Amino acid sequence: MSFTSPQAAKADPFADEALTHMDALYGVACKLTRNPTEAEDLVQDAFVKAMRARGQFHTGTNLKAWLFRILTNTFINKYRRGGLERSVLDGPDADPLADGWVSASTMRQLRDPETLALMPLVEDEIRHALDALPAEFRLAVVLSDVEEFSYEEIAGIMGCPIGTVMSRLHRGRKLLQRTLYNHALALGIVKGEERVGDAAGKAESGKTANLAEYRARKRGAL
Amino acid sequence: MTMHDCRDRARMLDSYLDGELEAAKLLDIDEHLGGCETCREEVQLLRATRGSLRRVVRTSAPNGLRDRITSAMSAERAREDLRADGDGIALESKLFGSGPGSWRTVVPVATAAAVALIWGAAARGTPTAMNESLAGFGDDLLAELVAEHSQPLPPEATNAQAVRGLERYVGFPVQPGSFERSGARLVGGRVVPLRSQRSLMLQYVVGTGDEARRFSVLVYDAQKIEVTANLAPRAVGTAEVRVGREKGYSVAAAQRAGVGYLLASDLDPDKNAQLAAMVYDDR
Repeated sequence: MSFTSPQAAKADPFADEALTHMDALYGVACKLTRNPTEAEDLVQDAFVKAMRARGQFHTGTNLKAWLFRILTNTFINKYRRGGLERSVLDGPDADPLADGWVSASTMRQLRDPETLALMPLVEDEIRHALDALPAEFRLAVVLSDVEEFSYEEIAGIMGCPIGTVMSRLHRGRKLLQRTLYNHALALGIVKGEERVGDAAGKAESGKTANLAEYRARKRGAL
Repeated sequence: MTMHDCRDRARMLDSYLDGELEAAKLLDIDEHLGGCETCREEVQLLRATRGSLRRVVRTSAPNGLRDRITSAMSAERAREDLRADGDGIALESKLFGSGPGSWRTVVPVATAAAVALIWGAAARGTPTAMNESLAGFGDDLLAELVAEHSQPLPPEATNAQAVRGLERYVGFPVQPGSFERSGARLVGGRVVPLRSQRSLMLQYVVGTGDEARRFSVLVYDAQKIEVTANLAPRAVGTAEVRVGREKGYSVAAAQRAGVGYLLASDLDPDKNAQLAAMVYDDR
């Protein structure tokens, strides 16, 4: 049974304003949980917590950022008792693939000049590529690229220093690019090229250029 | 233009794209982009990826979620109203004075208001009215509490975070830490069915060594479950709890924010009452 009618809640300006961010919260919750049902529960929990804590919200500050912080904390408390997972790529980010690993012409082939987006075939892959990112990178990228929060706001939402936000963003985006590049390579959208990294980078490049092996790896990952 | 230059700037390209770069560096990157096709393409690719990400992530929440959330938020608000109007009288007039179409609001919350009134009366030391009107309802809550306390089942959740996680099953806020401020240690908690509602049984240990004593706390939705036991009001500091005995155990009841707490232990009644009063301490 519904405790009160939705009509009764319409009189609450806080609830009304909070609900204008529901779609955004749901979109990010889907990316965090990778499960639409869990995303619904997560968003609902976050709203109830926001209602409970609304005395702590300072009018005039960013309600959307505040709601996202609650969503993130709720996610961590409920699904990840140890906090967001540590990056598997911890260590110096002198990843040979991270910087300047494809030529300008290859990068050009990845994007669609018409739509300011990726090539349609590459874009199909971005959902999987995003889901494959470690949660802390995924969240940073989505909060910045999709929700357009500032670094400072993201630091507040994720509870980490701004430098960490920048590092997560940079590496998250690089990982996305690498996945998309490998996908495009496998599909023959771009031609494999000599990698400008060290020997290890080249070895990996050679591996992913093998279509059969790439597909097998993908199947294994699913 | 060497690769080394581009690597140094790689991170700055992110900040450049995100509009987070300070003016001096912005000019530096602008100048670099003018002469470096690789970095220019990098920025374009980052922009393209961003555009695609927006299309993939932005979505509308499914139908029905808004209603669910609205209801959940309203329920939360009703619970808070109850806390704000501790004796229930102001709440009653507020509820019955509300506009048309709110009958669905009135019925369940009115029950809660009635509970609050009974509670208020009991706390003010007028147990007669309560005894007369509610005689015969029984003390099944106390019986349940003491049975669970004397022969506890193993807990489902054994730390504060996991216990808070049971919130979703019982439908009211759970703050297992309230009692730990007294120096008690949470052993765990489990969901227990009670009068066709779900309640929570928490177990704690207070003291150490030979002094260690267990106590159990039954946490329930006070808007749905009434305590009808004949318990005597007792002041603990500025707080009021209700105390009594059941099968040789000390029991104490407290209520806050629409959530009821019944505590049982073999501690002396004063100490037991002090523990129950912990729920009134602010975090």
